[in-house]
Amino acid sequence: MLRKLTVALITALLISTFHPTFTHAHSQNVSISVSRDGYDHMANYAVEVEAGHEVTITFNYADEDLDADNPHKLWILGAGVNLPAVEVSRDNPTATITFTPTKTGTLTILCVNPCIGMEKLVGGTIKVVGPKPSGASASLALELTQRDDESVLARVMLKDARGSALSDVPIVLTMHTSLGGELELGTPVTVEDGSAVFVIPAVSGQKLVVSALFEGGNGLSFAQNSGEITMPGAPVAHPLGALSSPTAPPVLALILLVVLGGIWATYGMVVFQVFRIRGDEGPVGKTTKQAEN
Amino acid sequence: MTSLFANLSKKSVADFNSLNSHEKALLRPVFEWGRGFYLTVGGLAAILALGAFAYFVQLRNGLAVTGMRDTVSWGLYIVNFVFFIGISHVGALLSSILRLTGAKWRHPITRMAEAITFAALLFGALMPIIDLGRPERMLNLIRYGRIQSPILWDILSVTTYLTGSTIFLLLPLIPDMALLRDKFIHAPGWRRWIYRTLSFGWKGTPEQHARLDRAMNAMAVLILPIAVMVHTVVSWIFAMTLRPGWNSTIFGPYFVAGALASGAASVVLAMVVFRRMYHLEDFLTLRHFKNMAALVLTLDLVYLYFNLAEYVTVAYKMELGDKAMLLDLFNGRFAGLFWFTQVFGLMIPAFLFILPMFKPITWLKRIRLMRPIPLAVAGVAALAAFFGLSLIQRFIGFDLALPALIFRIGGFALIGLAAISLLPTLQSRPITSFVIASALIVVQAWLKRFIIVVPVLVNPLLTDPAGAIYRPTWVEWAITAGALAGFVLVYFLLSRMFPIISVWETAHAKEEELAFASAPLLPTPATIPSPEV
Amino acid sequence: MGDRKLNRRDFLKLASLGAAVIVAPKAEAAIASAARPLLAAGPHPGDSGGGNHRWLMVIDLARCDGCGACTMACSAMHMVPPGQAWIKVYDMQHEALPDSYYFPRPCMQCDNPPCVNVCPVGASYKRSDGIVLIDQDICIGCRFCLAACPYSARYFNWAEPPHTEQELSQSYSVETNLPHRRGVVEKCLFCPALTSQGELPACASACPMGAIFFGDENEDAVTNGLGETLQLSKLLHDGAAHRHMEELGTEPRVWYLPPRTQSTMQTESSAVTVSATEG
Repeated sequence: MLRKLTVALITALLISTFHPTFTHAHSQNVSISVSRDGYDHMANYAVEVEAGHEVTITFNYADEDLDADNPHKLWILGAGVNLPAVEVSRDNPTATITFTPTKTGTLTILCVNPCIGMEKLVGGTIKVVGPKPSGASASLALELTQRDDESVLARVMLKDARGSALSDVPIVLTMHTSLGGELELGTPVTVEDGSAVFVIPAVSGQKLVVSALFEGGNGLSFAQNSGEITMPGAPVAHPLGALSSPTAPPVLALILLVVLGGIWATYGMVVFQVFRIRGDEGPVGKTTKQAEN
Repeated sequence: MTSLFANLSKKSVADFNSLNSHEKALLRPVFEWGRGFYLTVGGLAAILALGAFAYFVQLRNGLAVTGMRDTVSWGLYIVNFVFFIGISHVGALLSSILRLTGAKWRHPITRMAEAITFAALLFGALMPIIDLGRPERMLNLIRYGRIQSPILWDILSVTTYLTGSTIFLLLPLIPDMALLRDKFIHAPGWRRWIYRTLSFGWKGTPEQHARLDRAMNAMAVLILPIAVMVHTVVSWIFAMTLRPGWNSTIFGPYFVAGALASGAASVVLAMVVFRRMYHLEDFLTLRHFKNMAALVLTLDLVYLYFNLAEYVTVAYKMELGDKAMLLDLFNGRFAGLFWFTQVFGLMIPAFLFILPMFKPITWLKRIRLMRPIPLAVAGVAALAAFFGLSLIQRFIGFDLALPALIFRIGGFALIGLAAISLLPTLQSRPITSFVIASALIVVQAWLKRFIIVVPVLVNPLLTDPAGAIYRPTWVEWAITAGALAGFVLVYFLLSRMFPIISVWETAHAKEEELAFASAPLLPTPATIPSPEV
Repeated sequence: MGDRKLNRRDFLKLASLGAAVIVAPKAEAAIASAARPLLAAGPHPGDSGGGNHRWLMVIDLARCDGCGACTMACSAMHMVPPGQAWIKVYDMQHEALPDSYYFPRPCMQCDNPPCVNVCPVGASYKRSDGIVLIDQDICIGCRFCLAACPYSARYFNWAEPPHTEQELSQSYSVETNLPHRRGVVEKCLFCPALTSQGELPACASACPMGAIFFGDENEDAVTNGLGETLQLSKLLHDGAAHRHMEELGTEPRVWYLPPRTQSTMQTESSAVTVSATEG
């Protein structure tokens, strides 16, 4: 009887450790103290959690040493999460918030209450990383080819460790922008042969840096890859209006030339007449001729 | 007599005495540069120097010494610029239009007008340069000039107009220069040189007359479209922006009309001043003043019409962008200036111009109370009382508002009555009436330019939360005064270097006057009057 | 007399020829200046070229709380002379409602810029990446651009601006407008010195609410100071974005997402709410 129990216990333990369903249920708890010096008394603060798993953040009020109450209203945002702000104060020293981040990226914690130390409470970040490898590795290949003048084709091939294609799996494609941002392009799903395709709009001369991510699951760890492609051709010239361009618009130049040229030509003629007056020989003496009208 | 020639050598006096009476009358100012002359030049030069000093202060410390700031970024300098360029249109009007229409009465006036054009353009062109933040980089306008910019159009057209008006001033001067070259032999060397150079070897031959005539005809035809082009382009400095109040299609003709009106009015003022100063009553007769009055009246009414067109159409709609500026003009900070320019600057002058045409208002004189001086004194006293009351209001407990209001309204009413009581006098003195009207128009011209420039800048599309005001500083006023003094100085010097009334063109003025006076209303070919000498 | 007439005709021909001779060099100069490529645009000090970008900005008026951090960051970053606010936060009052909202106004970097159109010397010019820059070596300080800008986004140095050693040690670049000079014009430049290094402009980085998004139209992506990167076209479409006073035809490159009045900012789920739970 005892032996049967022990075997059952060991089996249960083994199953609970390795069975994928159980491994997904682990939750992450983070405890952060909030004070006027920052999160955990640090101005630049970062904590790391895994995507796809539940996260519980507990904020603790740490400004009791102040005479007056210094309530903080903490708001977590970024990476597509949609959370309400929670408040900690002298009367409510603890607040918790639970959520499951689905995307990798960076979340920001900031205090939206005008409190003492507000500027220190803007620097809190939660890095959401891909789920840790908890299973066999998969391989992801990303290929970027130019499709036509205005787009690029991203082709992803996902295979598991044995080399067989993984189908019906969403792949997260992100583009790294020139300002350090990561834009989620889309989530194509792999087909039977393990490939997924996606069309990315691009302009000539543009350099694209694209990443593909498989978030893992079903006993497989996450896999990611990235690639670069530069579109051929010169950067698109953006024509300026005639009034804004540095060079003179020909029509305007012509009009000015004709008008002003005509006027100055007439001046020239008149001045020429005057100098001819000087050259005119005539009878010396005053004229009796009246001025003409 | 001798005292007037105190500064001339005996030989010069002999030169003067060799002239005929017509020439003597017109050339006296050219010969005698007496004490009055030097005092006037000195006084004007002093004001000009003050303006120059103010500009030096501005160069040293930057434009921060003015009242302009980021919201009201254009101020008195641009107002002066538009004002002077506006005044300068008189030459085109009189010399060109009157020549082309064959108006014989223009002869005594044309040179006065052309000289105003020249002097006004000089200072008008100077104003934007004074306004520049980096005047030492002026040549960039030529090196890097962009012809898409209205400022470039401005530069091209103003320089063209200046050249044209200089030519137009110098052309009919040639025979008079020749006269001075031949007669004023004992003039100082530099003046002799000027007379010799500017007479271009004039001998008075028929061929030379023909050439001169051709040249003047060409210029007369040319100068008018140039003048229209100049002020249209100046108006486009404002109209090519998106600001409500400037973003109007009629700015071109609106500005040209205003320019012509103010220019013509300034000629009337010049006429009366020279008439008095140089004793030119024989040449600038009532007939000339009446004709000029008709001209100025027409232009005044045209400009009033344009004002109406501009403001009534916008006020009817009260578009959001225009609203703040219009309320500021009609009822706000600029209301006093605005209504002054409209009522006292355009409507009352029109009335004063037609006043002599009415039947004499002698019945007004019969009312005992309507005596101008007592009324004026009473009015001023009432206003002084109002002013005093509003000062002591701060120290007195009970409310003085009602008595202050009574004194204020009463004061203005009394002054108004005083002005009305002057009407019969003005009627009997048409020239005085015309001069007051013209002076009002010229003052209005400057104030109107201020009304065009500043209220629009004070009310931008994105309202300045700090609230914008514009208080011109002493630097701007000094430079304005200096420019006006400089303009008058240049004009005055021109009138002393050259006869301000064309000698050769008015040689037969007296005959013309008599012929005009004695001609039957409908002359038949057989009764063409012969000139009586 | 006939002789004379012929002479006159001849002389007229001569006159016109002479006039042509007088005018010709002027004409030649005019044509040459028209044909000279990019004379005024020719090398502007410090201009690194636009690269293959088309910068624009999206400002979410629903998030802006009027704190002014953008103005402070910009003024600090560029050592902006006192009295100038290159990005200025206005408190916009609705015409008919008692509510107001905050409105940050940078330079709109218009695609049909009135300031560039009227500049007589070409000191203000538009670069291929959409930014309107000012070459303060050429600017003559006429302030026509200040009059022409309907957004009141330009500023003039009326006096000598206060300097720091750090500022004076910089060599002049059109991308920084440092050191500042008296008598010339300056304005918001979308921080080209930062964006060419892959950084957000100072105002976008500093906004604690993440209200200022900045990005490349070619990449169809905008990023704010909190790290959110959104697809531009979707944001403009879903957010019903508009441009300020675009009916003026200036084609501004700053988009605005509609505001919510101060009172309603407290309610929605994505906005700030009060909730406290026992630990």
